[in-house]
Order: sequence, then C-alpha cells, then structure tokens
Amino acid sequence: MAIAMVMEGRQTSSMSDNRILNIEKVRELFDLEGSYLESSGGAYRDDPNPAWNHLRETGPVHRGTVHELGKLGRDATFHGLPEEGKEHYSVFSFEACDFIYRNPEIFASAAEAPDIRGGETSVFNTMLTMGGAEHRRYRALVQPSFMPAKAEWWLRNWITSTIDELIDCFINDGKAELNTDFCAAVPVLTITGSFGFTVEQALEVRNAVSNAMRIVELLQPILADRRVNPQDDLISVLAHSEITDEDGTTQVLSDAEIYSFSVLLLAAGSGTTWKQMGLILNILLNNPELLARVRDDRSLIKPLIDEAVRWVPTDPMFSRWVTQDVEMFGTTVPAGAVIHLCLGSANRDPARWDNPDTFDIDRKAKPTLAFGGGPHVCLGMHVARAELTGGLNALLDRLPNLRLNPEKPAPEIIGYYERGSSALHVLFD
Amino acid sequence: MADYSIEVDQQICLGSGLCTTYAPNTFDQDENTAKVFVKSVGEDSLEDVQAAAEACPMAAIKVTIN
Repeated sequence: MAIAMVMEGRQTSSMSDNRILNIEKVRELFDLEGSYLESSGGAYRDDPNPAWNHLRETGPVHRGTVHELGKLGRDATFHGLPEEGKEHYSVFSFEACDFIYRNPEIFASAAEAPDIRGGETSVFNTMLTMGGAEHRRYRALVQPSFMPAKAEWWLRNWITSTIDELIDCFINDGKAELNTDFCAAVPVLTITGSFGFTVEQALEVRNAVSNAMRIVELLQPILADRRVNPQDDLISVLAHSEITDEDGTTQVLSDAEIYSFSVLLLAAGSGTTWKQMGLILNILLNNPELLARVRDDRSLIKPLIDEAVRWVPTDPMFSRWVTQDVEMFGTTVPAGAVIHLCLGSANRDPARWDNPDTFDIDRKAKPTLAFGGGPHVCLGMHVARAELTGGLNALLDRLPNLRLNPEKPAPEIIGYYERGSSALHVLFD
Repeated sequence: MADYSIEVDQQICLGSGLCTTYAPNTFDQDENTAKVFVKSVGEDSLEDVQAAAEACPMAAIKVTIN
C-alpha cells in the first residue's frame, strides 16, 4: 500500500499530481531490523534491563562501554562510540547520570569545541557539541520556538494535518502497519515541513541525515527565499535570528550557522519521536485493557507518555568527554576518558522508583532522564510530546476497536542503542 | 496562602520549559526569550512545585518552605 500524501496545508514548490511518498523507501529508512540501523544494534531483541540492573547494583560506575558490559555480544556504535584509543567508562544509576549532566565543565559534550562558522557542516559541528556561554547563546535563538507554549504552533502548522492525512491513507482498509506508515512518517514530515521542505523532499532529507552537504544543497534555495520572504516556519525564524557575540556585536546568523542548526534539528527531529511513538503503541496494543482505559480517558495520555519514556527511552545511552580526573561514586575516572550514561538503567533505579521494572501509568510523575538533562536537555521534547499526544488521540478517535492483527507476529521491542517496536500490524472496525 | 516561596534565577534559566510540565499553574515563559517566571504561587501542590524545581536542568529554581 502506498502512502498517498496530499498535503493540502503545506506550501509545495513542485505542485505535481504525484505527491506520493515511496513506501518501500520509507520502510528501508525506518526499519529498525534492517541494515540501515544495524550499527546501533537494531536487530537486538532481548531485554537489556536485567544486565543493566546488575551493573547498577555492582557499580554504579564501571570501566567499559554499555554494550560490552551489558554483554550485547557484538560491536555497536552510537553517541560517544567508537572513540577508539580512549578509555571508556559507563554509569548506570540515576544519581550518577544526573551528576554528570549537571557538571558540564567536567563532562564536556565533545572532545573538541566545534567551529560552526568556519568548519565543515556536520551533525557534530553544531550546538550539540558546544559548551558554556557559546552553547547558551546559540540555544537561546531557537529555544522560544520549542517551548511548551509553542506546541500549538507546531500542531497547527504541521502536526495535525500530517496526522490526519496519514490516517486518511489507510482508514478504509480496516488494517494498517502503524510503525512505518504512521509513527515514522509523522515526525519526519513535521520537522521537514518546519524547514520548508516539500513532502517529496522529506525522505530525501531523511536519507541525507549522514550527508550534511546534501541537506545544505536542498536547503540553500529555501533559505535564500526566506531571507527575503519570511514565512510562518522555523527556517524563517533562523533566517532572521540575530546572535550577540561575547564582545557585544550583534549580527544576523550566517548561512553556515543556519546550516549547522538545520542538520542537527533535522537529524534529531526525524528519528527519535518515530521510535518512541512505536514503543508506546507497542505497549498499548500488547495490553488491551490499558488501551481501553486510555481510549476512554484521554487525560491518561500524559501519564502514559511520562511512564513510557521512563520505562523504555528510545535512546538509552548518551556520552560525555571527561576533562579532568574525577572521583565519582567510588571510582576514579581519568581525564581524556569517554563516559557513557546508561539512561535506560537510570530510569529504572530502585533508589528513585518503587518497582521500577513495572510499567505503571498510575505512578506519580517524577523527572526522568529520558530527554537527557543539564544544559543540553532535549530541545525538541515538547514538540515530541505534541506529536505523540496528537498521534495517539487521532488513532484512538478515528480507528474504532483498534487491536493487533492476530494473523501477524505480535510486536516486540527491539534495538539496543536505538530502541523501538517491530512492525505494528493492526486491525480496526 | 502558600506555605512556600519560589525564586527563579533568570540568569541561568535555559528556557527548557520542563518546570511548566510539572507545575503548569505556577511557572510560565516569556514568549520572546523563553525565560521562566513565576506567574502564581499556590496554584500547584508543593510536591509538584518541588518536582518542577528538581526537573530544572540548570537548577535555576529554588523552593523555600516557610
């Protein structure tokens, strides 16, 4: 089945009749089990938590990487890996991860500071790897567009129409595969829409996430247009942002600076929310009583999301670069080491949550590390929540008696450093 | 009357908005700078206000019990 995307609400530059996302390409790009994401342990289908629990109890700081210590049994890469030739440490408790996030002078976001005005455009030459005052100056430019009060702006401009039109594609079929045909499509169309990309360009952008120069090529004409014709979108906000340097001089962001923001936001915004939405639907569909409860009481969607990002954060590990010798939680970690924060384990720390391995939407919400922490805490978390809330509400509203297709394999939670759901084959009336 | 007081250090506030998700009736953000300010004290439970303070990634919120 093709996803026929008729995006009425979006300005398209090439108004052909053939506004159709190629579903085979979508499946390749968003298939956790496929080769595309094999490097982060995509084919893994066990539960990593028993090993992480043991590491927390016997640590919380260990020498080695999370996947070595957790006995993944194969190599894997993600943030802070492989970093060959460096010493590696990993931490598994909430307190230790929180301590690292809150001490960015000791635990830096990169081995070296980036140079976004002069250096090569890449996801790692962005505010992701900046520190201190420089990071604050750049982040402050985009923070207002991502605050909770702006969720309505994201919904109105991109999220709601995307969700509705995706559901239109399969609502008459009585069945669907939601992981790819819905969960994957919502975030990528939202973030690319906010940068002024057409639906046709959305997958090309996603495909080029690791090829920053291609993204720059695609973005160049849009940025040039928004410099002179600002519209109600994020790329226009960037095109007209002014940055005040340490010496007090103020200037409009250069193209290079905007490209740096763009490759980061497009990469971060198109993958994580897909996987988290798939995980939440996986949990609901495997627990029909919980699904019925949430369908009948939508105020439960917020605690459902809170508990899901605690119980199975889609990206359970991020890293920091140690700038000075530090004695922490009984272990000395040397300057020059890379330290890995196992957020998946931190979010199940029994020192902080009762029965942490139990999925329980009735527990009192407490801050977790699902969106990271410290000055680099996830910029897009409120947009992600708007996408998740909007997506879940629309599915529950429009697909009566939503349930797993018994003729297809039940969905599993898969992946190691990028966790998500296997295919979500559903039926509805 | 609330039996607690709240201070937000706007110099270190990042504008992440996390506090507003725990205590939405207490904290709000400037629409231009995203900086957090206290809009009302006593509309959320002390527990929620403390969760908001704890959630702050910059530790910019101080809650004092009177």
